Amino acid sequence: MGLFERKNYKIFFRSKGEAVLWLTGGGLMISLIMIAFLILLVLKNGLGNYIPLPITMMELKNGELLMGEVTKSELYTLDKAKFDQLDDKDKLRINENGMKEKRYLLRIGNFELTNEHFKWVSEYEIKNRSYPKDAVIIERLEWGRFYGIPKEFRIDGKAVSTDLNGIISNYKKYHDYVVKLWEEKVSIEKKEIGKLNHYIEKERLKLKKASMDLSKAKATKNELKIKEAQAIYEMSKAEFDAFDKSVKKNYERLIDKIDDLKKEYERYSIHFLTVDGKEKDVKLFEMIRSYYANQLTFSEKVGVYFSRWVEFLTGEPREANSEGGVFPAIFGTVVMTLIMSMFVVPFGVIAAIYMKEYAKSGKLISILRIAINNLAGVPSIVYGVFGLGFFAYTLGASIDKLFYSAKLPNPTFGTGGILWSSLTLALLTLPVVIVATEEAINAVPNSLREGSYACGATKWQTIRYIVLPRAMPGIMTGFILAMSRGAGEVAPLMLVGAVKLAPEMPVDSIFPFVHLERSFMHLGFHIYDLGFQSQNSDAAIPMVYTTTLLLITIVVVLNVVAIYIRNRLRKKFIGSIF
Amino acid sequence: MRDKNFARRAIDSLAKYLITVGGIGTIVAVLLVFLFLTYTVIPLFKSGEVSDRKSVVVSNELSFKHAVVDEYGLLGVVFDGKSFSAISMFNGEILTKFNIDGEIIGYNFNSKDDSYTISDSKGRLMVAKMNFGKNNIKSGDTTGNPNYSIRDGKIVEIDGDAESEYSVDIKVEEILQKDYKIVLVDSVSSENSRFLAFLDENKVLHIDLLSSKENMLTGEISQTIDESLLDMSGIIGGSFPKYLKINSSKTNIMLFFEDSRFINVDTKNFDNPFVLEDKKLFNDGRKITYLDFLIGRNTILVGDDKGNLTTWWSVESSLSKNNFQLTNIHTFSSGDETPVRFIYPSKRDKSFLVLNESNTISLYHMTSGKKLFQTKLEGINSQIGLMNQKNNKIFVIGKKNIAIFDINIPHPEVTFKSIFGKVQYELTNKPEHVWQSSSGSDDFEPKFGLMPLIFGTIKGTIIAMIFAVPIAIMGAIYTSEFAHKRYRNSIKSTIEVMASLPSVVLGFIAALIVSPFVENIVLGLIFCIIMIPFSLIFMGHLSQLLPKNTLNAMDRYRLLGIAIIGIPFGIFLGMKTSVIAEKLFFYGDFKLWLHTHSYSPIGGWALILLPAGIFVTMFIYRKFLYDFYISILDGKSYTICGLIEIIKFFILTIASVFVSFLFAAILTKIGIDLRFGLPVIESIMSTYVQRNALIVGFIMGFAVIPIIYTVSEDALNAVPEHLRSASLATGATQWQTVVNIILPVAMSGIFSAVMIGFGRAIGETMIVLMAAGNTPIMDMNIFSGFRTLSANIAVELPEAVIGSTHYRILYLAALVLFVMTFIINTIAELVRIRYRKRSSQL
Repeated sequence: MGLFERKNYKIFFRSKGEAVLWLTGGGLMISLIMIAFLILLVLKNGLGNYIPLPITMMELKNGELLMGEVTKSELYTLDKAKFDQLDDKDKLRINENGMKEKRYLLRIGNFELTNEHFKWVSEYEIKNRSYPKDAVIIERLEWGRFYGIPKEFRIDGKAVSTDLNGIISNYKKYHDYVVKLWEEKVSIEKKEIGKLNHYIEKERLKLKKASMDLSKAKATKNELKIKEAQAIYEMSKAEFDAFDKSVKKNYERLIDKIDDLKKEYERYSIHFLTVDGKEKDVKLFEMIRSYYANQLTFSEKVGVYFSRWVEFLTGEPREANSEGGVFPAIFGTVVMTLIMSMFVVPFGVIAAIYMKEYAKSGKLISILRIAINNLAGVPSIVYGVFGLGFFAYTLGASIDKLFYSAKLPNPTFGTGGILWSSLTLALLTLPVVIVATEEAINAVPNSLREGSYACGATKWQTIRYIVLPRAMPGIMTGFILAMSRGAGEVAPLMLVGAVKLAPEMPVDSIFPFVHLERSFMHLGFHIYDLGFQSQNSDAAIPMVYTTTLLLITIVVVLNVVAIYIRNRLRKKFIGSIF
Repeated sequence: MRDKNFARRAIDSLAKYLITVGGIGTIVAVLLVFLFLTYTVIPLFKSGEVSDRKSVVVSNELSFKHAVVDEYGLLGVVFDGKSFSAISMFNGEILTKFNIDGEIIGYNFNSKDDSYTISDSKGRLMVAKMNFGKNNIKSGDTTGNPNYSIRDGKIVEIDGDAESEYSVDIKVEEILQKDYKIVLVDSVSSENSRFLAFLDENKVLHIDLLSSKENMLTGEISQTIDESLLDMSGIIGGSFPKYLKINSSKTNIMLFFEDSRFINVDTKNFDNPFVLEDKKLFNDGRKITYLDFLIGRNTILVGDDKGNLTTWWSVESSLSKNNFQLTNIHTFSSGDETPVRFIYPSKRDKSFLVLNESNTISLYHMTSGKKLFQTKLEGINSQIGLMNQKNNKIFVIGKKNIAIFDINIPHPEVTFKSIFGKVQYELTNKPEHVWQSSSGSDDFEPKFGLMPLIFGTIKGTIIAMIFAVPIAIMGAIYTSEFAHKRYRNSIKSTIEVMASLPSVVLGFIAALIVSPFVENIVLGLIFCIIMIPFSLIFMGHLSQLLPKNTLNAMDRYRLLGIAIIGIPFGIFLGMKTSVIAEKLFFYGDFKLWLHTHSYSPIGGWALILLPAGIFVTMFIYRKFLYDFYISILDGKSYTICGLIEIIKFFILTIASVFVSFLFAAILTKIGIDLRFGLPVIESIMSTYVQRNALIVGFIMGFAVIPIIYTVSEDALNAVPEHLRSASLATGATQWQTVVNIILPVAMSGIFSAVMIGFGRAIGETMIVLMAAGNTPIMDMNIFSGFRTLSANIAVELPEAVIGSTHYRILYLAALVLFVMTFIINTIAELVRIRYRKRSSQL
C-alpha cells in the first residue's frame, strides 16, 4: 500500500470529484425523496380519511356550543390586534408557540340547520371541551353528516321508545328492513322504469323513422311507394299506441309500488337533539351509517373503517360526488381500458412484427421509428382534439346519419362516448405496445428463427410458433403498461366522453348490454372534477385523496407487474442465447 | 402434400400482407392526426365564396336616403326621406308604403333595433321602428328548396310541407314636440329610457333623457324628461354640421362637418356638457361624404371624397392620462378615387360594406383589416348597399334594380396576422397580443391571438426544464456510474413508477397542497433551491476531511449522507438565510417587495443573477487563479489539502455572491427593474399569485424528470464497456472517466432525452390546467399564472360550436402543439439514431 500511495495531493480531490458527486447524488436523492413524499402524503390522507373520529363538544367563550369531528388542526400566525385582546394565559401559550395559534377544523355537519359543513375554531376561543358519550354520528343520504343526541325512536311520528337501549334495539330491528325497502324503491326507479323509458324511446324512434320514410316516399311521388310507406307508418303507429298504453299501465303500477314502499319506509325515524338545542327528525332510511362515536371499541372502529371502504369501492356517488362511492368510475375506467386494449394490442403487435420481421429497407424503418416516437411524443390533449373531431364529429356523425337518423338532431355516436374514448386512448397507447413488443421480439435469439427456417417452416409459421410465444411476456408488458396509461390519462378523455356523473353505465342489463355510445365516469376525471369543480371543496378533498390513492394503487400495481415481467423476461433470455 | 404446401404459402403471404398493412398503418395514423388537424384548420384561411350577381328589377323607381333588410334577406324597407316602403328583395315588388306627413329634416338609423329617429320641420321628434317578423303557419318536412310568393303584402315561403310568412310592421311613435326646427338628431334607447341629442336651427344642442317608470301599484307608466342645453352657435360658426352621433356609453355627442371638422361634446356630467375636442379629422382637405358607426357604436367609419374609408375611435393620449382623442386607426382604400357614397355596417360582426360613386362595392373586416370582397357593378345606378343579419347576402340597391350576391365568408376576422401578430382591438390604445374568446357582453368581439398561449406554454416549459434537467441528468449519471450495483435496479424501477403517476394526481397536489403551502414560504423555497446544492457541495468538501480509505469507501454511504445530512441541512440553511435576507434586502416582506415600485430591486436581481455570478467567478478562477491554487496545494499533506479546499470553496462562494450583487447593483443603478417594464418579457419576478408558474414549473418538472432520467440513463448505459475499462486502466479515476469519456460519448443521447422531456412539458395539460390559474397573460413573472395551448384547448373546446371560428382556432392551437412536438421529437430521434451509429462504431 505504501508503495503506490500518492504523496502529492494537489489534484487528488479534483480527480475524485467528491463534492460534485454529492451534488449529483443529490439530484437522484431529490427525485426519490419527492416521490416518497408524494406517495406517503397520498397514503396518509387516503388511508386516514375513513378512520372514525370521536365527537368533540366545544364550549366557546362566547357561549356558543359546537359539536362535531376535528378533521384538521394547524398553526397560524395570529394578528397583533387580536392578540392584544386575549387574556394572559392565552398570551403566554401563544408566545411559547412563537406567536402562532392553533386552530381546528371542526366538521359540524347538520347542514340544513347550520348552513355550514365546517367551522374553524381557534384554541383561544375554546372555554372547555368534552366528549359526550351519547352523541351519535349519522352519515346520511343527503345534507352530509348529522351530529346529535338521540331522544326518541318514532314510528308514524309517535314515540315508541325514549330510552337509549330502546332506541338502539329498535334501530337494529328496523334499519335493515327500511334500507331494504329503500333499495327496492331505488332499484325500481333505476332499473324497471329505466327499462320502460328505454323501450318506449325505442318504439318512438321506430315510429319517427316510419314517418320519415313516409315523407321521403311522398317526395318521390311514386304512388306505390307512398302506399307502402303509409301502411308501414300506420302499422307502427298502431303498435306504438298499443305499446304506449301497456307501458303507461306498467308505469302507473310501478309508481304505485314506489309510493307504497315510500310510505312504509318513511314511517320510521329517530328524533334527535342537536348541540345548539334544535330538534330534528331523521328518517331511518336516510341513515347509511350511524354510531356512538365516543363509545366505539377498537373492533367497532375497524368495522366502521372497512364498511366505509366497502361503500367507497362498491357504492354510487352521493352529494355531488363528494360522498359515497366511486363504483361507476371504477367500472367506467375498467370497461374503457378493456375496449382500448382490444384495439391497441393487436395493432401494436402487428406493427412491431412488421418492423422487426418484415420491413426491409433501413429508410422505411427509420421513418416508422420516427412516426412511432412522434406518436409517443404528441401531447395527449392533441389526441383528444383529434378524437373529438375525427371520431365523434366525423365518424360518429356519419354513423348517426346512417343508422340513427330518427334520433337526430340528438347525437348518438356523434358526441363523446366510451367507444371514441377507447379508440383515442388506443391511438395514444399504441407506441407503448409497439415498443414493448419490439423489445420482446428483439430478445428472441436469431438462432431460434434460423432453426425454424431450417426445418422448412415459413416465415409466418416461424413467427406464429417460435417468435410470438417467446415474445408473449413482452406483449403482456406492453398490454399492462397501456392499461396503466389508459387508466391515468385524463386530458383527452375530458374532450371525448368522460363526464362528471353518468346516468347510465356503459354495460347493463338492457339489450345489447354493451352501450358503446354512452358517456362514462373515469377515476382520473373524477379527481379533476372533485378537486376543481365541486362547490364544497373542504368536504370533497378527503374524497379526492381516497380516489387518488385508488388510482395510484391501480396504476402503480399495473406498472410494477409490467416491470417485473420485463425484468424476468430479460433475465430469461440473457441465459438462453446460444 | 402440395395442397398443404399451398395453404401454408397462402397463409404466409396473407400474414405478410396483413402485417404490412398494419405496420404501414401506424405511419398513416400519425399522418392522419396531422392531416385531420390541418383539414379542420384550413377553412380559417380561405377567403370565402361569393356567388355571381343576381339582378332583380324594381317595380317602381326608387329614391333613397337609407334602407334596411331583415335577417333572412327577404324583406327590405327603403326610406326615401318622406316614406318607408317595404319591398320584397327577391322580385323587387313594393309591398306596403308608410307615409309620414310633414317634411323630414333630420334622421338617424339605429341598427340595434332597426329604428329611425326622425325630426321634421314642425319640431316633431319621432321614432320609426321596423318590426320584421317571421310567422310559421305550417310546420312539416322541408326540402331545403323554398319557393317564395307574395300574398296580402306579405312574403310567403313554401318549403316542402312547411309554410312561413315574412312581414314587416312599421310603427311610428312621436316622442317629443318642440316649437323649433330640429336639424340633426340621434338617439340611443335602452330598456326604459331613451337618450336623445338634437341640434336645432339656432345651433343649440339639446340633450334629453326620456325615462319611463312604471308605478308598482297602479301599473301606470309615467314619463319624465330631463333636458340640458348647450348653445353652440359661437363654436360652430357659419356652417351647419352634417352628422350628429351619440356613442354607445352616451358619454359623447359627436358632430361632424362636411369639411371634416369634428366637435366632440362630453356629456359625462349630464347637466353640464362641454366641448371636449374641436379639430379637423383630415389635414389634406379631404371631405366627409358619408359617416356611420360600426356595430356597437364605438367606432366611427368615415368615407371621404377620395374613396378612402377611415376608422376612428377615442384613444387615450400617450402624453397625458385621461385625455381621450378621436384617432384614426385603420385606413381602407377602395382603389378608385371616387367619393364614398354609402357605408353599411354589418349587424353581426365588425365588417362593413362600402359603396363608392363608381359603383364599386367593397366588404371589409375592420379588426383583421381584411378585404373580404370587392366588385365593380355595371348597369346599375347604385345608391345603397345592405347586408342581412346573417351576413350571407349583399344587396346593392339602385334606382331601378337590385343586385344580390350570396356570400359565405365564415371566418372574416381571421388572418395569419390576426392570430400570430399584434392586433389593435376596438377602443384599445395600441396593437396587442390578446386571447379572449368569450365575455359576458353582447357586442363583444372575440380576440383570437394565440401568442399569449404560446408564450405561456414556453414559459411553463422553460421553468419546468430548469428544475427537471439538472436533477434528472445528475440522477441518471449517479445511478449509472456511481450507485451501488445492488440498488441500481430498484432505483430505476422506482423512478419508472414515478413516470407512471397520472398527471391529474400531480395537478391536484400542485394546486391544492403545494400552492397554499408555498404561499407562506416563497422566499424560503427559493433559498432552499439555492442552499440545497450549496449544502451538498459543502458536505462533499467536508467528507474530504475523512481519512482517505473511508473516503474511497464512500460510494456505499454517499446517498445516505445526502438524504440524512446534505438535503436537510440545505433546507435548514435555506429557511434561516431567507429570514435574514428578507430583512436585509426585501424590506421585511418579500411579497410586498414584489409589487412595490419604490423598493430597490437589488435583492431580486442578485437572486436571479446568482448563476451568472457563479459562472463568472468560476471562469475567473479557472482561467487566472487555478495554477496559483494548485501551487498552494503542492506538497501539503492530505488533511491540509482538504482544509484548503474548504476555504477555497467558501472564498469562491462569497466571491460569487459578491459578483452577483455587483451585477445587481449595476442594473439597479441603470434603473432596470426586474419587477416592472422589462421589454417583451415584462418582468421576471412580480406580484405574487397563489397558483403560479414557479409551482407549476416545479410539479411539471417532477412529471418530466422520469422520462429525461430514463432516456439519459439508457444513453449512459449504452456507452461501450471497453471505453470505460480502458479509461480506468490508464489510471483515471471514476469521476475522470465519467467527465472525459462517458459524458462526451453519451452527450447526444442525453440531448435527445432533454428534447423528449421538453416535448412532454410542452404538451402537459392537467397540471397546468389545475395549477396555473389559466390567465392568458404575457409576462415572464415566475409568480404569476399563465395559460398554455393545451390547457386552453381542454377548457374551451368542449364549449366551442362545431365549425365556428373559435372551434377551428382551437384546432389550430392543437396543430401548433403537434408541430412543435413533432419538430422536437424528430430532432431527438435523428440525434439518437446518429448517436447509436456513432457509439456502435466506437
